[in-house]
Amino acid sequence: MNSNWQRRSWTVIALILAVALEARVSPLQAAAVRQPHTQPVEIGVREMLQRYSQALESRDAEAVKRIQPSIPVESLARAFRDMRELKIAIDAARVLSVKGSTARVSFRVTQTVTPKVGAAQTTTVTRVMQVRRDGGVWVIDGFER
Amino acid sequence: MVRWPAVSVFTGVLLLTAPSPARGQTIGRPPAGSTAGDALYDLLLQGVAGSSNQAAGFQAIFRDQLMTFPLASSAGGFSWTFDPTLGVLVRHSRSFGPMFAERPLTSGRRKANVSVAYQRTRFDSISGQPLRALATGTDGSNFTARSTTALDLTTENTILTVSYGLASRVDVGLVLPFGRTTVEGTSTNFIRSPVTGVTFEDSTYVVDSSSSGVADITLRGKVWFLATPPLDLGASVDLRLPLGDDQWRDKPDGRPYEGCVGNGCSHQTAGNKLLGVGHTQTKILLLGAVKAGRFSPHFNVGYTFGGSGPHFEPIIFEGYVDLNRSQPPNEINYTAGVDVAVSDRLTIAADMVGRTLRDSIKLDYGTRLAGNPPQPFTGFVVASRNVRLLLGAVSGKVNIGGLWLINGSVLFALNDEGVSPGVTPVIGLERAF
Repeated sequence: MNSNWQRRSWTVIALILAVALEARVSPLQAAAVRQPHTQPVEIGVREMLQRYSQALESRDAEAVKRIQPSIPVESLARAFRDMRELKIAIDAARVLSVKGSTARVSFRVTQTVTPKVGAAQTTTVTRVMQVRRDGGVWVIDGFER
Repeated sequence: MVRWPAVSVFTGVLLLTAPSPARGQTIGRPPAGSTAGDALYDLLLQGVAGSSNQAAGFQAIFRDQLMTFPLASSAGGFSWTFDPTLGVLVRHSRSFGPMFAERPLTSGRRKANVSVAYQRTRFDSISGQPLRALATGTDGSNFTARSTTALDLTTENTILTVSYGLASRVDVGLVLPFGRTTVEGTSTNFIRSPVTGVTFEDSTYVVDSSSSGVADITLRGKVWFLATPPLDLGASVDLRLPLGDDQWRDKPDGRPYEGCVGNGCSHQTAGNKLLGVGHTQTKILLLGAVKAGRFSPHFNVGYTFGGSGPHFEPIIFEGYVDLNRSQPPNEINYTAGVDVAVSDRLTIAADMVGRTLRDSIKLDYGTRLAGNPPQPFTGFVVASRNVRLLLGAVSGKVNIGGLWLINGSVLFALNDEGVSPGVTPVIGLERAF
Protein backbone atom coordinates (compact mmCIF):
# COMPACT_ATOMS: atom_id res chain seq x y z
CA MET A 1 0.00 0.00 0.00
CA ASN A 2 2.85 2.20 0.89
CA SER A 3 4.58 1.50 -2.45
CA ASN A 4 1.30 2.27 -4.27
CA TRP A 5 1.08 5.59 -2.52
CA GLN A 6 4.69 6.32 -3.49
CA ARG A 7 4.01 5.43 -7.15
CA ARG A 8 1.02 7.75 -7.22
CA SER A 9 3.08 10.52 -5.64
CA TRP A 10 5.78 10.14 -8.25
CA THR A 11 3.17 10.15 -10.99
CA VAL A 12 1.72 13.43 -9.67
CA ILE A 13 5.19 15.00 -9.42
CA ALA A 14 5.99 13.88 -12.98
CA LEU A 15 2.75 15.44 -14.21
CA ILE A 16 3.48 18.73 -12.42
CA LEU A 17 6.98 18.84 -13.92
CA ALA A 18 5.58 18.12 -17.37
CA VAL A 19 3.11 21.01 -17.04
CA ALA A 20 5.86 23.30 -15.76
CA LEU A 21 8.14 22.41 -18.66
CA GLU A 22 5.33 22.98 -21.12
CA ALA A 23 4.80 26.42 -19.60
CA ARG A 24 8.47 27.29 -20.16
CA VAL A 25 8.21 26.79 -23.92
CA SER A 26 8.64 30.16 -25.75
CA PRO A 27 5.53 31.87 -27.07
CA LEU A 28 6.75 31.29 -30.61
CA GLN A 29 7.25 27.55 -29.85
CA ALA A 30 3.93 27.46 -28.07
CA ALA A 31 2.31 29.02 -31.11
CA ALA A 32 4.08 26.41 -33.22
CA VAL A 33 2.76 23.67 -30.94
CA ARG A 34 -0.72 25.06 -31.16
CA GLN A 35 -0.34 25.75 -34.92
CA PRO A 36 2.18 23.27 -36.25
CA HIS A 37 1.89 24.75 -39.77
CA THR A 38 3.54 28.08 -38.62
CA GLN A 39 6.94 26.46 -38.16
CA PRO A 40 7.99 26.69 -41.84
CA VAL A 41 6.44 30.19 -41.89
CA GLU A 42 8.60 31.18 -38.96
CA ILE A 43 11.74 29.92 -40.65
CA GLY A 44 10.88 31.78 -43.83
CA VAL A 45 10.03 34.97 -41.95
CA ARG A 46 13.25 34.84 -39.95
CA GLU A 47 15.20 34.48 -43.19
CA MET A 48 13.28 37.43 -44.65
CA LEU A 49 13.94 39.61 -41.60
CA GLN A 50 17.62 38.82 -41.90
CA ARG A 51 17.61 39.95 -45.53
CA TYR A 52 15.61 43.03 -44.57
CA SER A 53 18.11 43.89 -41.85
CA GLN A 54 21.08 43.44 -44.21
CA ALA A 55 19.40 45.56 -46.90
CA LEU A 56 18.79 48.39 -44.44
CA GLU A 57 22.34 48.20 -43.07
CA SER A 58 23.79 48.34 -46.56
CA ARG A 59 21.62 51.42 -47.17
CA ASP A 60 20.58 49.92 -50.49
CA ALA A 61 17.08 51.19 -51.25
CA GLU A 62 16.65 48.83 -54.22
CA ALA A 63 17.53 45.84 -52.03
CA VAL A 64 14.93 46.97 -49.49
CA LYS A 65 12.40 47.33 -52.29
CA ARG A 66 12.97 43.69 -53.30
CA ILE A 67 11.83 42.69 -49.80
CA GLN A 68 9.20 45.42 -49.38
CA PRO A 69 7.97 46.18 -52.92
CA SER A 70 5.56 48.92 -51.78
CA ILE A 71 8.22 51.12 -50.19
CA PRO A 72 8.72 54.63 -51.68
CA VAL A 73 12.20 53.87 -52.88
CA GLU A 74 13.21 57.47 -53.67
CA SER A 75 12.25 58.69 -50.22
CA LEU A 76 14.18 55.84 -48.68
CA ALA A 77 17.22 56.56 -50.83
CA ARG A 78 17.01 60.22 -49.72
CA ALA A 79 16.88 59.15 -46.08
CA PHE A 80 19.89 56.86 -46.62
CA ARG A 81 21.84 59.77 -48.12
CA ASP A 82 21.67 61.56 -44.73
CA MET A 83 23.30 58.57 -43.04
CA ARG A 84 26.90 57.66 -42.58
CA GLU A 85 26.05 54.35 -40.97
CA LEU A 86 22.92 52.41 -40.05
CA LYS A 87 23.00 49.48 -37.65
CA ILE A 88 19.97 47.22 -37.26
CA ALA A 89 19.19 44.65 -34.59
CA ILE A 90 15.96 42.65 -34.85
CA ASP A 91 14.64 40.41 -32.12
CA ALA A 92 11.44 39.14 -30.50
CA ALA A 93 10.02 38.04 -33.86
CA ARG A 94 6.65 36.32 -33.55
CA VAL A 95 4.29 34.90 -36.12
CA LEU A 96 0.95 36.18 -34.87
CA SER A 97 -1.25 34.43 -37.41
CA VAL A 98 -1.11 32.58 -40.69
CA LYS A 99 -3.79 32.65 -43.37
CA GLY A 100 -3.00 30.86 -46.57
CA SER A 101 0.13 32.41 -48.06
CA THR A 102 -0.01 35.46 -45.83
CA ALA A 103 0.92 36.04 -42.23
CA ARG A 104 1.02 38.70 -39.55
CA VAL A 105 4.37 39.06 -37.86
CA SER A 106 5.58 41.26 -35.02
CA PHE A 107 9.20 42.03 -34.23
CA ARG A 108 11.30 44.55 -32.34
CA VAL A 109 13.88 46.59 -34.24
CA THR A 110 16.64 48.70 -32.76
CA GLN A 111 18.24 51.19 -35.13
CA THR A 112 21.34 53.25 -34.59
CA VAL A 113 21.84 55.94 -37.18
CA THR A 114 25.11 57.81 -37.48
CA PRO A 115 24.10 60.80 -39.60
CA LYS A 116 26.37 62.83 -41.82
CA VAL A 117 25.35 65.89 -39.80
CA GLY A 118 24.91 65.43 -36.08
CA ALA A 119 25.53 62.61 -33.63
CA ALA A 120 24.31 59.02 -33.53
CA GLN A 121 20.63 58.45 -32.78
CA THR A 122 19.17 55.20 -31.49
CA THR A 123 15.57 54.12 -31.36
CA THR A 124 13.77 50.88 -30.60
CA VAL A 125 10.28 50.21 -31.92
CA THR A 126 8.01 47.20 -32.07
CA ARG A 127 6.48 46.71 -35.47
CA VAL A 128 3.66 44.61 -36.83
CA MET A 129 3.69 43.71 -40.51
CA GLN A 130 1.75 41.78 -43.11
CA VAL A 131 3.89 39.37 -45.11
CA ARG A 132 3.11 37.06 -48.02
CA ARG A 133 4.83 34.25 -49.79
CA ASP A 134 5.84 35.29 -53.29
CA GLY A 135 7.51 32.68 -55.49
CA GLY A 136 8.94 30.72 -52.61
CA VAL A 137 10.23 33.69 -50.61
CA TRP A 138 8.49 35.87 -48.10
CA VAL A 139 8.09 39.60 -48.78
CA ILE A 140 6.64 42.48 -46.76
CA ASP A 141 3.21 43.63 -47.88
CA GLY A 142 3.00 46.51 -45.46
CA PHE A 143 3.27 47.62 -41.86
CA GLU A 144 0.35 47.96 -39.49
CA ARG A 145 2.49 49.91 -37.03
CA MET B 1 -9.43 107.22 -25.99
CA VAL B 2 -7.12 110.22 -26.34
CA ARG B 3 -6.09 111.91 -23.13
CA TRP B 4 -5.16 115.49 -22.68
CA PRO B 5 -1.52 116.08 -23.16
CA ALA B 6 0.74 116.21 -20.19
CA VAL B 7 2.15 119.36 -21.46
CA SER B 8 5.25 121.23 -20.56
CA VAL B 9 3.13 124.21 -21.45
CA PHE B 10 1.45 124.04 -18.07
CA THR B 11 4.75 124.10 -16.34
CA GLY B 12 5.57 127.11 -18.45
CA VAL B 13 2.27 128.78 -17.67
CA LEU B 14 2.85 128.31 -13.98
CA LEU B 15 6.32 129.72 -14.28
CA LEU B 16 5.00 132.73 -16.13
CA THR B 17 2.39 133.40 -13.50
CA ALA B 18 4.95 133.32 -10.71
CA PRO B 19 8.22 133.82 -12.47
CA SER B 20 11.62 134.14 -10.99
CA PRO B 21 14.41 134.76 -13.48
CA ALA B 22 17.04 132.05 -13.77
CA ARG B 23 20.46 132.91 -12.39
CA GLY B 24 22.28 130.97 -15.10
CA GLN B 25 22.35 127.48 -16.47
CA THR B 26 21.96 124.70 -13.91
CA ILE B 27 23.14 121.14 -14.33
CA GLY B 28 21.35 118.33 -12.48
CA ARG B 29 22.10 114.66 -12.01
CA PRO B 30 20.22 111.78 -10.38
CA PRO B 31 21.41 110.67 -6.95
CA ALA B 32 24.37 108.33 -6.95
CA GLY B 33 23.35 104.69 -7.23
CA SER B 34 20.14 105.39 -9.12
CA THR B 35 18.82 102.42 -11.06
CA ALA B 36 18.38 102.50 -14.82
CA GLY B 37 14.63 102.91 -14.32
CA ASP B 38 15.10 105.89 -12.01
CA ALA B 39 17.53 107.51 -14.38
CA LEU B 40 15.13 107.07 -17.29
CA TYR B 41 12.22 108.46 -15.32
CA ASP B 42 14.19 111.48 -14.15
CA LEU B 43 15.65 112.18 -17.56
CA LEU B 44 12.20 112.24 -19.13
CA LEU B 45 10.71 114.20 -16.25
CA GLN B 46 13.40 116.84 -16.60
CA GLY B 47 12.97 116.89 -20.37
CA VAL B 48 10.20 116.13 -22.79
CA ALA B 49 7.81 114.48 -20.33
CA GLY B 50 7.38 117.74 -18.49
CA SER B 51 5.26 116.25 -15.69
CA SER B 52 5.49 113.27 -13.41
CA ASN B 53 2.24 112.03 -14.89
CA GLN B 54 3.62 111.90 -18.38
CA ALA B 55 6.95 110.53 -17.16
CA ALA B 56 4.95 107.67 -15.64
CA GLY B 57 3.30 107.15 -19.01
CA PHE B 58 6.68 106.96 -20.71
CA GLN B 59 7.88 104.61 -17.99
CA ALA B 60 4.93 102.26 -18.52
CA ILE B 61 5.55 102.25 -22.26
CA PHE B 62 9.19 101.32 -21.79
CA ARG B 63 8.20 98.57 -19.38
CA ASP B 64 5.54 97.11 -21.68
CA GLN B 65 7.65 97.23 -24.82
CA LEU B 66 11.31 96.98 -23.82
CA MET B 67 10.95 94.39 -21.11
CA THR B 68 8.90 92.13 -23.37
CA PHE B 69 11.08 92.66 -26.42
CA PRO B 70 11.52 89.30 -28.20
CA LEU B 71 14.58 87.38 -27.10
CA ALA B 72 16.36 84.78 -29.19
CA SER B 73 15.59 81.33 -27.86
CA SER B 74 16.54 78.45 -30.09
CA ALA B 75 14.68 75.31 -29.09
CA GLY B 76 16.56 72.64 -30.96
CA GLY B 77 17.95 72.31 -34.45
CA PHE B 78 18.08 68.53 -34.66
CA SER B 79 14.88 66.56 -34.71
CA TRP B 80 14.92 62.86 -35.62
CA THR B 81 11.81 60.73 -35.87
CA PHE B 82 11.07 57.16 -36.81
CA ASP B 83 9.35 57.14 -40.20
CA PRO B 84 6.92 54.17 -40.15
CA THR B 85 6.56 54.22 -43.93
CA LEU B 86 10.29 54.00 -44.58
CA GLY B 87 11.06 51.95 -41.53
CA VAL B 88 14.08 54.03 -40.57
CA LEU B 89 14.99 57.05 -38.46
CA VAL B 90 14.90 60.23 -40.52
CA ARG B 91 15.73 63.84 -39.84
CA HIS B 92 12.26 65.31 -39.56
CA SER B 93 13.40 68.56 -41.05
CA ARG B 94 16.57 69.32 -42.95
CA SER B 95 16.40 72.82 -41.53
CA PHE B 96 17.79 73.74 -38.11
CA GLY B 97 14.84 76.09 -37.64
CA PRO B 98 14.40 79.81 -36.93
CA MET B 99 15.55 81.83 -33.92
CA PHE B 100 12.59 84.12 -33.36
CA ALA B 101 9.79 81.65 -34.03
CA GLU B 102 8.88 78.32 -32.52
CA ARG B 103 8.64 75.16 -34.59
CA PRO B 104 6.15 72.44 -33.66
CA LEU B 105 8.98 69.88 -33.76
CA THR B 106 10.22 68.62 -30.42
CA SER B 107 13.63 67.38 -29.36
CA GLY B 108 12.61 63.75 -28.90
CA ARG B 109 12.24 61.68 -25.76
CA ARG B 110 15.07 62.20 -23.27
CA LYS B 111 16.84 64.54 -25.70
CA ALA B 112 17.99 67.91 -24.49
CA ASN B 113 18.99 71.11 -26.21
CA VAL B 114 20.99 73.90 -24.63
CA SER B 115 21.69 77.26 -26.22
CA VAL B 116 23.34 80.47 -25.14
CA ALA B 117 22.79 83.70 -27.06
CA TYR B 118 23.87 87.29 -26.65
CA GLN B 119 21.54 90.02 -27.84
CA ARG B 120 22.18 93.76 -27.81
CA THR B 121 19.41 96.20 -28.61
CA ARG B 122 19.82 99.93 -28.89
CA PHE B 123 16.45 101.60 -29.14
CA ASP B 124 16.07 104.23 -31.82
CA SER B 125 12.70 105.92 -31.60
CA ILE B 126 9.39 106.26 -29.84
CA SER B 127 6.27 106.87 -31.88
CA GLY B 128 8.50 107.69 -34.82
CA GLN B 129 10.47 110.36 -32.93
CA PRO B 130 14.22 109.73 -32.58
CA LEU B 131 15.12 109.00 -28.97
CA ARG B 132 18.34 110.95 -29.42
CA ALA B 133 16.48 114.11 -30.42
CA LEU B 134 13.14 114.30 -28.64
CA ALA B 135 11.77 117.81 -28.46
CA THR B 136 8.66 119.50 -27.13
CA GLY B 137 7.76 123.10 -26.63
CA THR B 138 6.01 126.21 -27.78
CA ASP B 139 6.92 129.47 -29.44
CA GLY B 140 3.94 131.50 -28.30
CA SER B 141 3.57 135.21 -27.95
CA ASN B 142 3.67 135.00 -24.15
CA PHE B 143 6.64 132.74 -23.75
CA THR B 144 9.00 130.38 -25.48
CA ALA B 145 9.46 127.01 -23.83
CA ARG B 146 11.58 124.23 -25.22
CA SER B 147 12.40 120.87 -23.71
CA THR B 148 14.69 118.37 -25.31
CA THR B 149 15.82 114.92 -24.35
CA ALA B 150 18.63 112.98 -25.98
CA LEU B 151 18.25 109.42 -24.77
CA ASP B 152 20.59 106.53 -25.41
CA LEU B 153 18.84 103.39 -24.21
CA THR B 154 20.47 99.99 -24.60
CA THR B 155 19.56 96.53 -23.37
CA GLU B 156 21.94 93.60 -23.43
CA ASN B 157 20.83 90.08 -22.67
CA THR B 158 22.70 86.82 -22.36
CA ILE B 159 20.01 84.20 -22.77
CA LEU B 160 20.31 80.61 -21.61
CA THR B 161 17.70 78.33 -23.14
CA VAL B 162 17.25 74.70 -22.14
CA SER B 163 14.69 72.27 -23.53
CA TYR B 164 14.17 68.62 -22.70
CA GLY B 165 12.02 65.95 -24.30
CA LEU B 166 9.71 64.47 -21.68
CA ALA B 167 8.19 62.28 -24.36
CA SER B 168 8.77 61.91 -28.07
CA ARG B 169 6.41 64.80 -28.73
CA VAL B 170 6.46 66.73 -25.48
CA ASP B 171 9.17 69.22 -24.55
CA VAL B 172 9.61 71.31 -21.45
CA GLY B 173 12.04 74.19 -21.28
CA LEU B 174 13.42 77.22 -19.55
CA VAL B 175 14.55 80.61 -20.86
CA LEU B 176 16.81 82.42 -18.42
CA PRO B 177 18.05 85.87 -19.47
CA PHE B 178 20.75 87.82 -17.67
CA GLY B 179 20.12 91.42 -18.54
CA ARG B 180 21.85 94.77 -18.43
CA THR B 181 20.04 98.01 -19.21
CA THR B 182 21.96 101.21 -19.76
CA VAL B 183 20.41 104.68 -19.79
CA GLU B 184 22.51 107.64 -20.86
CA GLY B 185 21.24 111.00 -21.88
CA THR B 186 20.73 114.68 -21.46
CA SER B 187 17.59 116.74 -21.02
CA THR B 188 17.40 120.49 -21.35
CA ASN B 189 14.72 123.01 -20.42
CA PHE B 190 14.65 126.55 -21.68
CA ILE B 191 11.88 129.03 -20.88
CA ARG B 192 12.03 132.64 -21.91
CA SER B 193 9.65 135.56 -22.31
CA PRO B 194 9.90 137.09 -25.79
CA VAL B 195 8.27 140.22 -24.40
CA THR B 196 10.64 140.98 -21.54
CA GLY B 197 13.59 138.92 -22.73
CA VAL B 198 13.86 137.36 -19.28
CA THR B 199 15.04 133.73 -19.13
CA PHE B 200 13.16 131.82 -16.46
CA GLU B 201 14.82 128.46 -16.85
CA ASP B 202 17.92 127.22 -18.58
CA SER B 203 18.73 123.84 -17.14
CA THR B 204 20.43 120.66 -18.18
CA TYR B 205 19.98 117.25 -16.64
CA VAL B 206 22.48 114.47 -17.28
CA VAL B 207 22.10 110.75 -16.55
CA ASP B 208 24.42 107.82 -17.00
CA SER B 209 23.17 104.72 -15.23
CA SER B 210 22.89 101.02 -15.72
CA SER B 211 21.36 98.05 -13.92
CA SER B 212 22.04 94.39 -14.38
CA GLY B 213 20.87 91.04 -13.06
CA VAL B 214 18.56 88.15 -13.75
CA ALA B 215 15.67 89.24 -15.92
CA ASP B 216 12.26 87.58 -16.11
CA ILE B 217 12.51 83.84 -16.67
CA THR B 218 10.17 81.84 -18.86
CA LEU B 219 9.02 78.26 -18.27
CA ARG B 220 7.91 76.58 -21.46
CA GLY B 221 5.94 73.51 -22.43
CA LYS B 222 5.43 72.33 -26.00
CA VAL B 223 3.37 69.56 -27.59
CA TRP B 224 3.77 68.40 -31.19
CA PHE B 225 0.28 67.07 -31.74
CA LEU B 226 -0.01 66.66 -35.50
CA ALA B 227 2.53 65.26 -37.93
CA THR B 228 0.67 64.71 -41.18
CA PRO B 229 3.13 65.37 -43.98
CA PRO B 230 3.69 68.02 -45.07
CA LEU B 231 1.96 69.76 -42.12
CA ASP B 232 3.17 69.78 -38.55
CA LEU B 233 1.16 71.43 -35.79
CA GLY B 234 1.96 71.98 -32.16
CA ALA B 235 1.11 74.18 -29.22
CA SER B 236 3.18 75.84 -26.55
CA VAL B 237 2.58 77.56 -23.26
CA ASP B 238 5.05 80.07 -21.85
CA LEU B 239 4.84 81.14 -18.24
CA ARG B 240 6.87 84.29 -17.67
CA LEU B 241 7.81 84.83 -14.05
CA PRO B 242 8.69 88.34 -12.83
CA LEU B 243 12.15 87.72 -11.43
CA GLY B 244 13.62 90.79 -13.11
CA ASP B 245 11.72 93.61 -11.42
CA ASP B 246 8.95 93.94 -8.92
CA GLN B 247 9.42 97.64 -8.32
CA TRP B 248 7.17 99.17 -10.94
CA ARG B 249 5.70 101.81 -8.72
CA ASP B 250 6.07 105.44 -7.87
CA LYS B 251 7.46 106.65 -4.59
CA PRO B 252 6.17 110.22 -4.45
CA ASP B 253 8.23 111.06 -1.40
CA GLY B 254 11.49 110.30 -3.10
CA ARG B 255 14.73 112.21 -2.71
CA PRO B 256 15.43 115.44 -4.62
CA TYR B 257 17.95 114.99 -7.33
CA GLU B 258 21.43 116.43 -7.10
CA GLY B 259 21.63 120.02 -8.27
CA CYS B 260 17.87 120.45 -8.18
CA VAL B 261 16.77 124.07 -7.71
CA GLY B 262 13.38 125.72 -7.80
CA ASN B 263 10.08 124.10 -8.55
CA GLY B 264 9.41 120.64 -9.89
CA CYS B 265 12.44 118.87 -8.54
CA SER B 266 10.73 116.34 -6.32
CA HIS B 267 12.30 113.10 -7.25
CA GLN B 268 9.89 110.26 -7.93
CA THR B 269 11.87 107.09 -7.87
CA ALA B 270 10.32 103.98 -9.31
CA GLY B 271 13.25 101.92 -8.08
CA ASN B 272 13.12 99.51 -10.99
CA LYS B 273 16.07 98.25 -12.97
CA LEU B 274 14.39 97.91 -16.36
CA LEU B 275 14.90 94.17 -16.28
CA GLY B 276 11.37 92.82 -16.16
CA VAL B 277 7.67 93.55 -16.30
CA GLY B 278 6.95 92.85 -12.65
CA HIS B 279 3.93 90.70 -13.43
CA THR B 280 3.36 87.02 -14.27
CA GLN B 281 2.37 86.51 -17.89
CA THR B 282 1.09 83.48 -19.80
CA LYS B 283 1.51 83.09 -23.53
CA ILE B 284 -0.32 80.43 -25.54
CA LEU B 285 0.78 79.74 -29.10
CA LEU B 286 -0.36 77.56 -31.96
CA LEU B 287 2.71 76.45 -33.89
CA GLY B 288 2.64 75.36 -37.50
CA ALA B 289 5.18 74.36 -40.13
CA VAL B 290 5.03 72.93 -43.60
CA LYS B 291 7.76 70.87 -45.22
CA ALA B 292 8.34 71.71 -48.86
CA GLY B 293 11.70 70.26 -49.78
CA ARG B 294 14.40 72.47 -48.41
CA PHE B 295 11.85 75.19 -47.60
CA SER B 296 9.84 75.16 -44.43
CA PRO B 297 7.28 77.94 -44.06
CA HIS B 298 6.17 78.31 -40.47
CA PHE B 299 3.83 80.37 -38.35
CA ASN B 300 3.02 81.07 -34.71
CA VAL B 301 -0.20 82.66 -33.61
CA GLY B 302 -1.37 83.16 -30.06
CA TYR B 303 -2.28 85.34 -27.15
CA THR B 304 -0.45 86.64 -24.11
CA PHE B 305 -2.38 87.14 -20.94
CA GLY B 306 -0.17 90.00 -19.87
CA GLY B 307 -2.17 91.82 -17.23
CA SER B 308 -4.90 94.37 -16.82
CA GLY B 309 -3.03 97.01 -18.82
CA PRO B 310 -2.35 100.66 -18.02
CA HIS B 311 -4.43 102.34 -15.37
CA PHE B 312 -5.38 105.90 -16.28
CA GLU B 313 -6.33 108.41 -13.65
CA PRO B 314 -8.34 111.24 -15.18
CA ILE B 315 -7.52 114.68 -13.84
CA ILE B 316 -8.43 118.13 -15.04
CA PHE B 317 -5.82 118.68 -17.69
CA GLU B 318 -4.69 115.20 -18.60
CA GLY B 319 -5.12 111.53 -18.06
CA TYR B 320 -2.08 110.13 -16.41
CA VAL B 321 -0.83 106.63 -15.95
CA ASP B 322 -0.85 105.37 -12.40
CA LEU B 323 2.16 103.07 -12.30
CA ASN B 324 1.11 101.65 -8.95
CA ARG B 325 -2.03 100.17 -10.44
CA SER B 326 -0.84 99.53 -13.99
CA GLN B 327 0.03 96.15 -15.36
CA PRO B 328 1.32 95.09 -18.77
CA PRO B 329 -1.40 94.74 -21.40
CA ASN B 330 -2.66 91.58 -23.06
CA GLU B 331 -1.10 90.86 -26.44
CA ILE B 332 -1.98 89.19 -29.70
CA ASN B 333 1.12 87.43 -31.02
CA TYR B 334 1.75 86.44 -34.62
CA THR B 335 4.87 85.35 -36.40
CA ALA B 336 5.29 84.12 -39.94
CA GLY B 337 8.38 83.20 -41.87
CA VAL B 338 10.32 80.59 -43.71
CA ASP B 339 13.45 78.64 -42.93
CA VAL B 340 15.55 77.25 -45.74
CA ALA B 341 18.09 74.43 -45.53
CA VAL B 342 20.63 75.96 -47.88
CA SER B 343 22.85 72.92 -47.34
CA ASP B 344 23.07 70.08 -44.85
CA ARG B 345 25.04 72.36 -42.55
CA LEU B 346 23.48 75.77 -43.12
CA THR B 347 19.96 77.05 -42.50
CA ILE B 348 18.78 80.59 -43.01
CA ALA B 349 15.45 81.94 -41.83
CA ALA B 350 13.43 85.10 -42.30
CA ASP B 351 10.60 86.04 -39.98
CA MET B 352 8.10 88.78 -39.34
CA VAL B 353 7.43 88.98 -35.62
CA GLY B 354 4.25 90.83 -34.71
CA ARG B 355 2.68 91.87 -31.44
CA THR B 356 -0.45 93.89 -30.85
CA LEU B 357 -0.59 95.32 -27.35
CA ARG B 358 -4.27 95.65 -26.54
CA ASP B 359 -5.53 98.88 -24.96
CA SER B 360 -2.00 99.88 -24.23
CA ILE B 361 -0.42 103.31 -23.97
CA LYS B 362 0.37 105.13 -27.13
CA LEU B 363 2.14 108.42 -27.54
CA ASP B 364 1.05 110.59 -30.42
CA TYR B 365 3.41 113.36 -31.44
CA GLY B 366 2.22 116.56 -33.03
CA THR B 367 1.35 120.24 -32.64
CA ARG B 368 -1.84 121.28 -30.90
CA LEU B 369 -3.32 124.32 -29.25
CA ALA B 370 -3.04 124.20 -25.48
CA GLY B 371 -3.16 126.53 -22.51
CA ASN B 372 -5.07 129.72 -21.86
CA PRO B 373 -4.82 131.69 -23.99
CA PRO B 374 -4.27 128.85 -26.49
CA GLN B 375 -0.77 128.56 -27.86
CA PRO B 376 0.61 126.05 -30.37
CA PHE B 377 2.33 123.32 -28.46
CA THR B 378 4.43 120.57 -29.99
CA GLY B 379 4.70 117.42 -27.96
CA PHE B 380 3.29 114.06 -27.00
CA VAL B 381 -0.27 113.07 -26.21
CA VAL B 382 -0.88 110.03 -24.05
CA ALA B 383 -3.56 107.79 -25.50
CA SER B 384 -5.07 104.42 -24.67
CA ARG B 385 -4.99 102.39 -27.86
CA ASN B 386 -3.80 99.18 -29.43
CA VAL B 387 -0.11 99.36 -30.27
CA ARG B 388 1.16 97.26 -33.16
CA LEU B 389 4.83 96.32 -33.00
CA LEU B 390 6.37 94.68 -36.06
CA LEU B 391 9.88 93.31 -36.26
CA GLY B 392 11.81 91.56 -38.99
CA ALA B 393 14.39 88.89 -38.23
CA VAL B 394 16.95 87.26 -40.49
CA SER B 395 18.78 84.33 -38.93
CA GLY B 396 21.39 81.78 -39.84
CA LYS B 397 22.42 78.51 -38.16
CA VAL B 398 25.60 76.68 -39.06
CA ASN B 399 26.48 73.16 -37.96
CA ILE B 400 30.13 73.22 -36.92
CA GLY B 401 30.35 69.51 -36.22
CA GLY B 402 28.55 66.96 -34.11
CA LEU B 403 25.44 68.48 -32.64
CA TRP B 404 26.90 71.98 -32.31
CA LEU B 405 25.33 74.97 -34.01
CA ILE B 406 26.47 78.56 -34.24
CA ASN B 407 23.54 80.93 -34.56
CA GLY B 408 23.48 84.50 -35.77
CA SER B 409 20.60 86.88 -36.30
CA VAL B 410 19.65 90.47 -36.88
CA LEU B 411 16.39 92.03 -35.75
CA PHE B 412 15.02 95.28 -37.12
CA ALA B 413 11.87 97.33 -36.85
CA LEU B 414 9.27 97.08 -39.60
CA ASN B 415 7.11 99.93 -38.31
CA ASP B 416 7.53 102.93 -36.05
CA GLU B 417 4.73 102.44 -33.56
CA GLY B 418 5.83 102.31 -29.97
CA VAL B 419 9.47 102.03 -29.04
CA SER B 420 11.44 100.89 -32.09
CA PRO B 421 14.81 99.16 -31.95
CA GLY B 422 17.78 99.80 -34.13
CA VAL B 423 19.35 96.87 -35.92
CA THR B 424 19.83 94.29 -33.18
CA PRO B 425 22.56 91.69 -33.54
CA VAL B 426 22.27 88.28 -31.88
CA ILE B 427 24.98 85.64 -31.70
CA GLY B 428 24.62 82.24 -30.08
CA LEU B 429 25.89 78.73 -29.61
CA GLU B 430 23.70 75.67 -29.32
CA ARG B 431 24.14 71.96 -28.69
CA ALA B 432 21.81 69.01 -28.64
CA PHE B 433 22.32 66.14 -26.21
